Amino acid sequence: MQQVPVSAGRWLGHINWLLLVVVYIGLQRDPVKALLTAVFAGIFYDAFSLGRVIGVNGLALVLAAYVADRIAAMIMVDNLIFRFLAVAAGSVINTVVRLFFYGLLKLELPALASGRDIAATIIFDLFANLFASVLLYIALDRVFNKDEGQKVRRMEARRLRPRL
Amino acid sequence: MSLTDKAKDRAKKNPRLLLVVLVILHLILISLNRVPGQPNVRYLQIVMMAGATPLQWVASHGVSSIKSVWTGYFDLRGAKRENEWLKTRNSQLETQLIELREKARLFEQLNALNQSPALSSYRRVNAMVIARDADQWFDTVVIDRGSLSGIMKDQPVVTADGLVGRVINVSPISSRVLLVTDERHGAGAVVAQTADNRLLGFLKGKNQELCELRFVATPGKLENGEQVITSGQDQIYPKGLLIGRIKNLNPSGAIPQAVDVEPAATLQKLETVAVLLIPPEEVRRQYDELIKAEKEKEKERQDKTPDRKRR
Repeated sequence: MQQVPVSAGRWLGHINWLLLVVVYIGLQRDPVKALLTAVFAGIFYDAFSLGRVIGVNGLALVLAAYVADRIAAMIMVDNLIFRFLAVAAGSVINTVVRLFFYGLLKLELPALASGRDIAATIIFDLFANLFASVLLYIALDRVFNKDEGQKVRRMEARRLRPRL
Repeated sequence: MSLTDKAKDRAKKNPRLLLVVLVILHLILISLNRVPGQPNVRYLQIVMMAGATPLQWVASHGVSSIKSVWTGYFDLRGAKRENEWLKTRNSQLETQLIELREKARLFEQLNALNQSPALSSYRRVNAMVIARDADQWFDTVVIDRGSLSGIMKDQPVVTADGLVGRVINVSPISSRVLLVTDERHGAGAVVAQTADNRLLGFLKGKNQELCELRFVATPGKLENGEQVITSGQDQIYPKGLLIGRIKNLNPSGAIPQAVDVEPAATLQKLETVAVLLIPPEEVRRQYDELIKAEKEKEKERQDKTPDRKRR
């Protein structure tokens, strides 16, 4: 009975919520906003993760945001597969960059113990972020696009208004 | 258009440049973590930690406070649920306990009835009292056994303590019993002083807790607490059943023609009784034997009296 919450906790640990927010902003087709958000999110993350190297998360998130922005610029259609692709790319880049720099700075992490551990971390991060992105993006869509319908209706009303 | 807007437009058109700048800045930032020659000391990290610690402290305490309120709330909800469950369980167990106590009491009463030596010579049916007459003019109870159990009219009803009354109405599954305290009830009784000296009388109910014993002849000596038993001369009750004890007798005054008798059976709290399955013929036979014996005694007495006269 104890196995369920323990494994659920492990999966939750692989979710990078800041990365998902940064990718979401990256998909809005505003590279400046996306990259600056990534910088602040990275500094915020590193500042609050005591004992880690400052700047690594910022760099990883900046790269992820850039990739998301490029994907959004290349593919004009906004659908779920396109979002999955951006999240997957962002997640892999984020994990790889972080692991690379942590390895370079000789941090002793279990994820860096072997090639198999590195691969497992990348895959677990990928799936956890993909799963979490579905739920998070539904919530974010509701918050940020809630006036979209109203805007369309207003525009339509303006268009159809009889000219005096 | 301001300079910032121009830069923003350029960055939007070509974000690669902004990316390069940010990557270089981050690499510098990362390199600042390390102090040459001191691989374990990271100055920037120490500065960031010092700056972030108060914020983190506030965040951590806020989170832990919310967490404690949250868990407290759920604990409270759990405690409330548990409390409700325990209350229900307690009530169930109390009901069970009452039922078991009741059963144990009934078992004891039935056991006393079955073990009673006074009743051992009679065939009997144990019954439960299921109703009592609410009218104050009638002292009757209804028992849960009737003709299907072999009960007939006028059969005596007793407890292990003493006589209760007699059956007056019988249905297949229930019977009505007239208690000894009812005004309509009467029974032949004797005060069992000694084997030879017996004070014959007639027991009558008064619709009160006590009955009244009227003597056939004026008694010589009486005391409170003396046992009153059935005489067997009423052709209903067999001889020798305990009815009760004499009560309220004034020891200094003259002995009256009638005395109060307190029934031995607790008639106010009747629960289990036994109906003695004595057929009327058997009672009649006992009565005939009694009369015969009385006559023989009388004859013997008469035989002795002329002898004395002759002497």
